[in-house]
Amino acid sequence: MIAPRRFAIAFACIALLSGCSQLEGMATRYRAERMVWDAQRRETQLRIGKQAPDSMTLLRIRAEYQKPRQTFRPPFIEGQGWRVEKLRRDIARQVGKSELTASRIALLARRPDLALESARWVTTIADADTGLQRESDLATVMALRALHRYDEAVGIMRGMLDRYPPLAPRSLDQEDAILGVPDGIIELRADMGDSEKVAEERAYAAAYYRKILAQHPPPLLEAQVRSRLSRTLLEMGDANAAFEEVGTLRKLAQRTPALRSLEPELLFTEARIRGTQKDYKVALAMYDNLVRTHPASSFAARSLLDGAIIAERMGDTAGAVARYRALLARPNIDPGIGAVASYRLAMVKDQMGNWDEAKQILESIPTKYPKSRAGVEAPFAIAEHYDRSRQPDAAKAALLKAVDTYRSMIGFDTVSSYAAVYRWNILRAYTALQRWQDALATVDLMAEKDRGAPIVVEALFEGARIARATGDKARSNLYLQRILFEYPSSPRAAVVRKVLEADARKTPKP
Amino acid sequence: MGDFRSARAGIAEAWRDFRWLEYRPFLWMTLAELLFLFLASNLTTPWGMAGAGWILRTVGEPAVHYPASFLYLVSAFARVESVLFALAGSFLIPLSLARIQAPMIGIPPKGPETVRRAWRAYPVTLAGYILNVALLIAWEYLLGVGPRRWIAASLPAGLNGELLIWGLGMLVAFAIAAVFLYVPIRAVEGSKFGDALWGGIREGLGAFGPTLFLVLVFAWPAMLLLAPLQIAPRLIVSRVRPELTAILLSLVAVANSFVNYFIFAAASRLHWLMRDPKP
Repeated sequence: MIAPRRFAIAFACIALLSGCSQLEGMATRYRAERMVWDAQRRETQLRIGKQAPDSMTLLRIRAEYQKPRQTFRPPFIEGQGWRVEKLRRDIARQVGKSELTASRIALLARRPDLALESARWVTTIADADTGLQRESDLATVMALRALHRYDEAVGIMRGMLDRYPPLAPRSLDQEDAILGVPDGIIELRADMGDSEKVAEERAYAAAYYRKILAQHPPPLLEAQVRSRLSRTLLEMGDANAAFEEVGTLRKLAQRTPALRSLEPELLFTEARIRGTQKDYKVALAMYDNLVRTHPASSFAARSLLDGAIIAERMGDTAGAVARYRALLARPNIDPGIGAVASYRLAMVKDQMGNWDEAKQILESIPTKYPKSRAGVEAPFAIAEHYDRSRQPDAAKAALLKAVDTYRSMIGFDTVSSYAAVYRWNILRAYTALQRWQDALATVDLMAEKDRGAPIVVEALFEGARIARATGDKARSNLYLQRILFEYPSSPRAAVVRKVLEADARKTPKP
Repeated sequence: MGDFRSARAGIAEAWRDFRWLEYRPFLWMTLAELLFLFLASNLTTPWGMAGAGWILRTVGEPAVHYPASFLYLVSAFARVESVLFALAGSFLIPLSLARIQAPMIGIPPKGPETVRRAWRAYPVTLAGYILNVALLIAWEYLLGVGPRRWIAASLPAGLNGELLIWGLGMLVAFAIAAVFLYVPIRAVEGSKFGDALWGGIREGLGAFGPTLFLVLVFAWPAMLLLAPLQIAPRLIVSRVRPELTAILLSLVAVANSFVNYFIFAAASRLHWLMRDPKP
């Protein structure tokens, strides 16, 4: 009879202990973890045999990842004390991360509205968990980009810069992702083709980097920030300030052993500054020296590109071609650099009279580097060559082919910020082909699908011009009114207002 | 050869004469193990966390998270089993042995004398078990610094190497267990502490071959169940289902209780046959 009594006592203890909020919290955390694991398992099952799952499947996967949110409601567990608080944070992290996965999948399913809702919900439960807050902010930015709400996306990214001070890395290989946000903003504005805003964001980025430097960060973080600042200053055209920053960075690298690996970057920036100052010979020698002394560095590839561009400017086409070829022959080349090198190599080859090779290179760019300015411009460059060489039929065929290329590029990634640029180029192609109805249909498509993107203002303006030229004044006015209503702060708004006012004056009153 | 013949006779007799009363002490330990596994499989509840969480945590903090809890369950179960065998087993194993021996010495298997004999054997059984575990830990260490490295270096990485290392580890563990098998048997007979402990070890070494033989004859089915859990626990957790670990461990626990009973019953008979050899 002893054993059953002991078991009863043990059970009583367990029952008593199980009332503790810590145990309740641990059990809840465990349930959340199991639910996330089940969702991952279900995702694997649903993806089997589907290389690119359809939206329906993706939304089913999303529903699995949303289960934790539907099951566990904030504040997740009752009780107080640091242990309970820690458990609460753990549970919030589990539920939040699952919901962020749901957000990412909603984006893939082309439902940015759902993605945004999920990301914003995670922000509400993140509380003091900075990591989760950062992830939810990033997810919000992604969703807003997909919804073409670029200004809001930039607003959140700027907010992130204020909220999350960058962390000092342990080595130069690591970098806090927050330091990449200013460049992300600039890239977003550049993708939208808004050069005025790009300049504004560069100035904002420089001010942000300077603010961090004023707080005297540890050497590794200081080096990373100074490096970004010098690059931004150079892009802003302020070579002297950039040179000053590189000088400070060099001094810092000399007195900090952990920064010795910065040498290629320093050499590259110095060469670039020389190039900006039009001291081409010295710049070219510096680039060549970098390629020779640090061939494995990523800056060697960039030196080859910049060296080739300088060689072009100096009229040394053979030198330029040799450098472009050396760059394109490197393994794992950065697509951003590869796209520019390919495009420029094609242009040089065209100038040298080797159109066949140039055409071949241009045709390969959209497939190799779809998300690049060179990928967008390459199909048009072919048509422009035929235009220049007075071959109207070939130019027409090239434009039709360009339309097909842009359509297939949109098909690859419909939510890409490049989709608006591809459609804009389709509009350009139809305009050049004088296929007015197709051009106007593209304007309508852009007004719907790319709403919010600055390039839509250009499309609507172009649509208004075409409609007016073809005698459809009502449609033309509709486009212009849309600019006023939907993009009142765009640079075109003032001109549009004047045109509409002039029209209203001309219209006879009943 | 004569000893092997006795071992075979002991195995056959133990198998044939299975008695529920003799087996019951092993069942108590199995029930405690199954209770632990049940609680560990219910960490989604506060009572599951209260009952098994603290034991799992002794293996590491990830052991109270999903699905890592099932990965650590094998180690935690081994710890529970060790503690149970040391504290409860030091009484329950001699109790079972006393019940097995009772008809041979003419006392009732359920009588107070049987229980007294079991309690008397407690200290020496515990000491023998602790020595056994200490040797096992030492062997685990030696396996890690020696054979495991040599095998890993000579065989390509994969299941074959893992299987060979595991087989070698188990064989030596059984050999160590075989040496200590006669300690509780002699203790139940009333031998004094030193005589039971060192005499038992001497007897185990003397009858090493036949004893190891009977251990292997009974233990292999449980080993088949244990093998996937010890060789590829990650595979079960990540590719199949984490909960399968608990199911397999429950089967191992049940199988082990019978295996242990039959091993002690057969060893007990072998001990008697070796002491009073028939012409």
